[in-house]
Amino acid sequence: MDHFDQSSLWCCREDFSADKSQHHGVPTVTSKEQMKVEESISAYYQFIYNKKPFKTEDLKLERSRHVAYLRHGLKNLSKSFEFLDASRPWLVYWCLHALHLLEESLDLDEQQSVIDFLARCQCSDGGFGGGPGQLAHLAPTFAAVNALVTIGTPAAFAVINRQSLADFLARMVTAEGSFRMHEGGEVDIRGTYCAVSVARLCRLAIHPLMSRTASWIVHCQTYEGGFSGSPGLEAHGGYTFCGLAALALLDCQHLADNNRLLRWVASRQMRLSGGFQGRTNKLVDGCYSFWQGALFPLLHHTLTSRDNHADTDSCWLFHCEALQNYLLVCCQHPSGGLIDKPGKSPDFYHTCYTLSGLSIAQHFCYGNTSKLSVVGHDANEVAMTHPLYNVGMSAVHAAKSYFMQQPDVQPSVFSASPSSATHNANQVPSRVNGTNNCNDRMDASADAVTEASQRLHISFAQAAPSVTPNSGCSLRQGPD
Amino acid sequence: MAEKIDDSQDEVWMRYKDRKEWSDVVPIKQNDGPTPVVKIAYSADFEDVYDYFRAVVAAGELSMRALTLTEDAIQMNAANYTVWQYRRRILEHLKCDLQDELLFCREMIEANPKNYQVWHHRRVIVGWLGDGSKELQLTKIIFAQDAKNYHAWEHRQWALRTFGCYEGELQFTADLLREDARNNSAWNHRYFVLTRTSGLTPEVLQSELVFTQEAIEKLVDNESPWAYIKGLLMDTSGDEEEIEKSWCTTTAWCWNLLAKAVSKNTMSSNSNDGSPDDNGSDDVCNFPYINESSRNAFNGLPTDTECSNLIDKVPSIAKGCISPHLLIGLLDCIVHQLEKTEDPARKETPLKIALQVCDTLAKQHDCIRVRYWNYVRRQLQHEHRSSSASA
Ligand SMILES: [Zn+2]
Repeated sequence: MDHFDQSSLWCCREDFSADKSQHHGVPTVTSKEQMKVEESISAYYQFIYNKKPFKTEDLKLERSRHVAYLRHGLKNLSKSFEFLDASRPWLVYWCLHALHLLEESLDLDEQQSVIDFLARCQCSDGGFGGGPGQLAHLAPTFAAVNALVTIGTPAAFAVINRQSLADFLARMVTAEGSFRMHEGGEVDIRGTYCAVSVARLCRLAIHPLMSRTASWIVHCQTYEGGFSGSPGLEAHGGYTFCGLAALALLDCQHLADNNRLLRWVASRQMRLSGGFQGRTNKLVDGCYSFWQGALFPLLHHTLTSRDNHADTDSCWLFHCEALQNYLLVCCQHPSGGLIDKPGKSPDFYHTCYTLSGLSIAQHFCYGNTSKLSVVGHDANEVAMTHPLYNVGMSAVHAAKSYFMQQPDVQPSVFSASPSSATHNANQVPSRVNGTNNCNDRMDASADAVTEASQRLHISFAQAAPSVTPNSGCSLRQGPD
Repeated sequence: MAEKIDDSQDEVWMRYKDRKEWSDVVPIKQNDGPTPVVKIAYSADFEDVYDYFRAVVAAGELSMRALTLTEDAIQMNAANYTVWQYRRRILEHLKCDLQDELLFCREMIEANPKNYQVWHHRRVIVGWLGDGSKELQLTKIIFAQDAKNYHAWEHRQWALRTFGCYEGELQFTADLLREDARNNSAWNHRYFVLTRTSGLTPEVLQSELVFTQEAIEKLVDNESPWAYIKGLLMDTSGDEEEIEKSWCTTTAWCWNLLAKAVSKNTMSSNSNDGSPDDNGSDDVCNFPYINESSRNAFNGLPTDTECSNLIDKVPSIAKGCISPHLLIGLLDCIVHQLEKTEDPARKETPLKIALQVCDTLAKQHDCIRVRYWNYVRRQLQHEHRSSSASA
């Protein structure tokens, strides 16, 4: 009853060794590191292979250990977390979202504590900082909004000051349509994604604020097909997610070269381990399970609306089973929490994004079709995450319907930088009237939520399993 | 001078609350509220520094002592962007010597090479100075530890865009690639340099193809140059005929590589059962090194029959003994050929070959991407079969 065909597991395939990397007579730093990592992964896979008889119990998500790790972190952190003192809303979001994926809920007091703390991180002139009293920054703003949406109560939603948030976004936008992370801060594609994501989730008007944003993002797509942090740089998993998700949220995904992107992201799944790497010729890392994995649902949408060949298997176009295999065998730390790769220590960031990637790999859900494919023990199923925002599917819908009932919000003073020619600085825009250079389709849709992205949201919603509401190498840190 | 945080016993750290020169300031505690979450057990030193930092910000004090305080705060957490931003305000206000700041910044970069704030601060300071002459050298120091450091590449590209000085930049990438031909960041940078200098013209394409093909011939199973070559072929603009010629020579070159790989593997296939050696010995599955004499098995493009014969042999080559990147590169060339061919009769064989390559990738040589290759297969079938049927 609990016995299954072990050889169907990716890590137990007979020709496993043929997928190992080789130096091919030219050993370099890259191939040496690669082979070292493969050696440690092979040892883990060999262990599973040698287990006879094999039970699905042997391939289990250690739910209670991870929950204990997360619950503890949500309350208390040691001195070693001082380096994350400017990222505390992130810590909250990582723990909360991971707990949600594990179908753990917070009691009312816990919810209230989180709400109260995040409210203290909100700045009077809009946006959230990395802790109480810190400057507003787009990354913790994204994290705080996602955390509040994950809690999903009116009290949580009400913390977000939408008017000042819109004002903050308007202060951060550049003449090119990109966003700086904070006053006087750096500009890159993370800022752009964070801005677009919170604007959509909180139903702020995106026109005319973001009318140039899509064309800026498109300049970040590289010859390889992925996106870079800013134009000219190397394609990278985290930035590619930011780029494509932001384009999708702006209903401009068609502006990207989706075929090249699909080739690039499909190629990032590692032949031996089944996990994802972040860049060409770099090492596997569990967190890219989400950053790369979530690109497939987004691409599926574009590819299937163009033709129907993508859809025949009711599967995303990557090896979902192999990815689950990597996560379950190599990324669970025995003392709780999940990790990048064998030998690493657990952290909340990797716990959040490995579980988010696991969710993507388990849940195929498109249009009216949904298919669950859980590797290992049946109880390994985690809740479904929304591939655009990375918060629970049900939470996204609760947030949207809550904010739908709130008044429309425009930045009170919209002034892109002075060099912006088409925007009249200090002009108070009343309602949308497309003035810009993105594309016709985008400008044509006056409503904040455009038709196609709504379609995407709805298609995920329809097949969403009934999740208890509110069961409850990153945007923050530098790329590896 | 601010005391540095030091592990060594001889230097004693004095808290700000015990310093005479700070006795006029009332420290401000962080207000985490009655029920804090993600509560960090700060060390007393950390709390002390940040209590005084909050007080300084609240008072809007832009002084020399506040500048040293920000240095201590940064040493304790270099990711605190609020501190960095306040530090810049002080630097501006006091019109500080920015050369000192560059030195401090360099120290911080070397200690935290993967931190956004340190690099951003560097760009602001260098921008104020209007002098980017030290920047390429700085990134070189970082690349010596990690030749793929994303922040350092971003900084280098920023310096190049801001101050020009692209001379020697192509050679710089060539040097890095000689160290490690798998360094994808260096390949990417090469593309960046070309697009910002000469542009991607048919002439540049020509010479880059030579450079890249040589790199591939030395190490076939290296994804980076394959992606680079495809990017160049797709993105070059100018005389269509010239570009088309480059596609053709690349296609012929791919077939030659395949011919070499097939002959090598069919020769040795009798000696083993086809499964590669578990010890990972490179001798069994060595990819071909192409020398001048073996470079041209075919004169120009091989005939359809020659191609079909070659492709038919690929499934019998053991997995791991032929680079999937070679097969994929070849597939890209054939697909390009298909797209350029209008006569449906002349499409038949290349289409059949392309589908075979997808099959062998899906089933044998690149199984992890089975769904992707099946999708590409369906896509090709749909596009090219229907066009030949409708014609
Ligand atoms: Zn990671």
